[in-house]
Amino acid sequence: MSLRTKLLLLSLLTLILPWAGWQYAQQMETTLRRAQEDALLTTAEVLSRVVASEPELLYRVADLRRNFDPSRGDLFAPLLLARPLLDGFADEWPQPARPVPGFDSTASAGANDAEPKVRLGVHGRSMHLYVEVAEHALKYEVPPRDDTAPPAKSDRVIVLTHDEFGHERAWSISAIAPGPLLVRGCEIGAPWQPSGDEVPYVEGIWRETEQGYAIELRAPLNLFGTQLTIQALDASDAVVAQMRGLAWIHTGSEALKQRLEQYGPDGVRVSVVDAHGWLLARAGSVGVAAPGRYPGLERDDEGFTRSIYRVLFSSDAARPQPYGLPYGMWGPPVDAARDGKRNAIWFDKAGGEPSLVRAAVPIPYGNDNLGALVVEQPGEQLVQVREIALTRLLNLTVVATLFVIVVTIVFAARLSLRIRRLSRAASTALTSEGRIEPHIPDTGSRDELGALARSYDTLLGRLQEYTNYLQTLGTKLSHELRTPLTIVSSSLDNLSSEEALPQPAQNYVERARSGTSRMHAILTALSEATRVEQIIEHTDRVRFDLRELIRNMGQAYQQSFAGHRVDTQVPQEPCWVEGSPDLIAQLLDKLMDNASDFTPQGGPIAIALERGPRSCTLSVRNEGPLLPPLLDNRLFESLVTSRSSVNGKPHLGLGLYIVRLIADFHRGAVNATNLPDDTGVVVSLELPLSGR
Amino acid sequence: MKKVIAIVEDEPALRDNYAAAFQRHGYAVRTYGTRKEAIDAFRARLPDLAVIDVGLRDEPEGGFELCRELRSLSAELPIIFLTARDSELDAVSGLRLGADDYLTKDLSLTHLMARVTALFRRIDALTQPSNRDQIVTRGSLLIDTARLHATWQEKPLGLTLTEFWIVHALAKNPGHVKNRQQLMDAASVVLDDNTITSHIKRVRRKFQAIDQAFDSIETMYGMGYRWKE
Repeated sequence: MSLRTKLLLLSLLTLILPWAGWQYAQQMETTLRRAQEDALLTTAEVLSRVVASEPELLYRVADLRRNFDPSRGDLFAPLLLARPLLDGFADEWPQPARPVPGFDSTASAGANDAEPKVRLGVHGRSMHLYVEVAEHALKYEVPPRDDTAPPAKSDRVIVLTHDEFGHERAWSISAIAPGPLLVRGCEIGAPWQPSGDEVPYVEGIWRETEQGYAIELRAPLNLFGTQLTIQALDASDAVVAQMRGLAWIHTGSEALKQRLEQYGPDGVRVSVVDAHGWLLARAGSVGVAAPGRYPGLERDDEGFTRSIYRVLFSSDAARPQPYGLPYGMWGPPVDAARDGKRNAIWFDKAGGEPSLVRAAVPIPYGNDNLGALVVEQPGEQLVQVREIALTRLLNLTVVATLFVIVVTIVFAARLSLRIRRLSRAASTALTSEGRIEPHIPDTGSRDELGALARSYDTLLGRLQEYTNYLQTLGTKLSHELRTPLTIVSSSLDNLSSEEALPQPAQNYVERARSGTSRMHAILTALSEATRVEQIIEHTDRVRFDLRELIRNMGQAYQQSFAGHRVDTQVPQEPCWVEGSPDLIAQLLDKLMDNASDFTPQGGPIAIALERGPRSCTLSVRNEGPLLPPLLDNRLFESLVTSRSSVNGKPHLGLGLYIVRLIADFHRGAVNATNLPDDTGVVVSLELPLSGR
Repeated sequence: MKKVIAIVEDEPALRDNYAAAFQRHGYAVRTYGTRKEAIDAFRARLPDLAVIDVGLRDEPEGGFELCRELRSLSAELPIIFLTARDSELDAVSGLRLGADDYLTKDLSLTHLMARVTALFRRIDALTQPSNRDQIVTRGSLLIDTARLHATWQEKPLGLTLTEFWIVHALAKNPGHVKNRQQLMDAASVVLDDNTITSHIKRVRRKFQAIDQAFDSIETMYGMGYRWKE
C-alpha cells in the first residue's frame, strides 16, 4: 500500500466528525423536547383546572356520567365540524378511523333489521339525526283534501324524547314522497296518533334506500332531552323496527368548545374527553405556524440532501395511530390521562397533520377524574430545526472532510514525490559507466527526508572519494613503486657491468632483470589510463574519415596479428566523425589486443564499420569464451577484469576502461555482448557522425 | 679532463647507483640530496651536465625549481630530468623549462649512459666544423647527426635528443613507415605508445612554430609514421 493510500485512509477518520455532531444534535433535540413537553403539560394542567371548575360543561346532567353505556344502545352525538347536507345520505358524516362502540361504520341495515340505524351529531345549536329503516313495502302519506281531516295512514318514524325533568315528547315523522319530511307532534303511546301541528324548526329529507328508507333531519338541540328512543311504524301502525329502549344521549359540548377557544393559547389544539374517552370538545388548530421565523424552513424543504438525511436520521417519534375522532380519543397518551396519569408523546406527521407533541392530563373532580384534557402542539418546527442543524453540520463536515482529503492527497503526493526523487537520485547516482555522480535533491530540507537526503549525499560522497581513490590507486602505486624498482634495476645494471660475473650469478642477474622489466611494464600499464585521461584533456578534435582509418588499420593488423585471421569490413561511403584519429587508433588497438587474447590461434577476428543515418558503429567480433553473465558493462570500469592473468602478461582490467575513456571523448557508447549464437563476443562502439 | 656530472637525487641508493655507473664510464660525479645543497654547489662551480630528479624530498616540484635556477646561471648547461613521474604534463613543463631531455626512471643504466654520451657529443660537435657525411637534407629539413642539430628552413628546431632521433629516423628514409617500436629503438628509449604519440605531436608543433603549413610527418594509423616529401 503506498504512502498516499495510507494517508487517504487516515483522512477518512475525519468522518467521525458528523457522527459526533449527530450525537450532539440528538442530545440537543431531546433536551428541547423535554422542555416543550413540560411547557405543554403545564398548559394542559391549567386548562384542566378551568374545565374542572365547570363540570356541567362536560356532562349536561350528572346521570350521564354514570349511566351512559353505548353497549346498551346509548347514543353519542359528536360535534360535527361541518354542517351535514340534509340529503338523506350519511356519507358526509364523519367516519371514525377506528371501531367505536355503538357506531356501525357501514351505517346500513344489515344484521339486525329490527333495530333502526341511528346516528346523532351536534353542529352549533342543532342536533342532526340520521335514521335508516329496513322496510320493503313503502307507503307514503296521501295529503288530505282539506286541512282539518286527519292524515291517512302511512309509514312513519316515531321519535320519543325524555328530558331530565321527566317530560316526554313524541314526534311522528312521515313524508308524502321521497323529499321533505312532515314532522308532527303526536300522542305518546300506541297508536301514536299524530296531531295536526307540524313541529317548528325541524327540517329533513326522506330518501328511499335499497332496503327501505332513510331520514335525515336537523332540529334545535333543546328539543332533544337526555334520553331518546325511535321506532318505525308501517301504515297499519305495526312496529317495523325499534330501539331497545330509552337510550341516553351524550353530546359534544359547544359551550365547552367555546370555553376552550377562549382559554386555549395560540398554536395549540385543546381537546377534552370524558371519563370513557368520548370527545366532548376540540378547539384550536395545529397547522405549521409562522415558518418565516426560521429562514431555513422556507428553502429546500424537500431538497435532496434533506431527504437523504431524513432517511439516515429518522426521528424516534411514535407512529400516529387512529383515535376514533371525532367520536372520542382512545389510545396513548389519553388513556393514561383518564386513569390519572399526565404524560406526553411525540407523533410523526401523517394524514395531513404535522408531526406534533400530544400532552394529556386528567381533569380532576374531587378524588375522581371527569375525563382528560389533551393539548397538542406541532413539533414540526423543532424537527425542522434539527434537520436544518444536521444538514448544515453534515454539509460542513463533508466540505471539511473533502478539504482534509485534498490537503492530505497534496501532502502525500508531495511527500512521495520527494521520496521518489530521492530514490531515483540514489539509484542513478551510479552511472551506467560506473561513475558516481551524486545529485541528491532536497538536502536543504530540515525534516527527516532532508536528513535522509543528507545521509545519502554523505554516503555517496564518501563512496565517490573511495572510487576516485581506487581509480588513482594505479597511478599512485606505480609512482611509489617506480623509485624502489629503479634502485633494484640500476643496481642490477651496475652489478652486471662491474666485472665479469661467474656464469651462475650472470643467470640470476638476467632473471632478476627480466623480473624488473616485467614490473616496469606493469607499472606503465597501471598509469596508462591516467595518461590517456591527460592526453584527452589536451587533444583537439578534428574531422576525419573513420572508414579510411579503419581500412588502414585493418591492413596493418593483418601483419601485426599474424596469428589470427583479421577480417575488415568498411562501408561504401565515408564516415566523417569528429575526434582524434590517434585516440581511435589506440582504442582499436586495445580492442584488438583483447580480442586476440581470447581468440584461439588461427581464429577469425572481424572488424566491421557500419554506417547508420546519424551514427556509425565500429565493432570487433571474435570467437572465444563468453562474457561472464553478471559482469555486464562493468567490464568498462577501471580495474575490472573477467580473466586471470594468462601467459605471463599482466592484465589489470584497464584496457576496456581506456576504451571507454576514448569512447566518452567521442560522445560514443561502447557495449560488449555475447554473439547471438554464443560462439564469441562482440564489442561495439557507436559514434555520432559529424554533421557537416 | 673528466666531464663533471652533477646528480641531484634524494634517494641515496639510487644516487649511488647512478654515481657508480657514471664513474665507471669515466665521468667525475658529484651528488646532492637536496635542492639547496645542489644550488649552493652550482653557484660555486657549474658541472658539465646536471641530472635532476623532479621530486626532491620535501619539494615535489624541487627539480623544476632547480632547473629554473640553473638555467639562470648558465644557458648552455645540458640538463636531463630523470624522474619517476611519467605524466605528460610533467614532461611538458620540464622541457619548457629548458631541459634537454626528460627521462623516466624505467630507463636502463645502459640507455642512460648512451643518452648522456650522445648529449656530450652534441655539445662537442657544436664546437667543431660539420662533416658533410653526417648531414641529411630533406627539403627544408637539415639534420646534422654529428652535432645532433636540426633546422627547418634554416631555423633551429630546438629538438630534444629523443625528438632529434625520431625526426632523424623518419627523415633518413622518406616514405618508409616507421612503427613505434622502430622509433623507440632509434631514440634509445623505452616509451609506451602514448609517449611516442605525444613526442610526435611535440615535434610537429616545433616544425609548425617555424612553418604553419608543415605536414611532412604523416601518421599511418595502425602502422606508424613516415616522412612525406
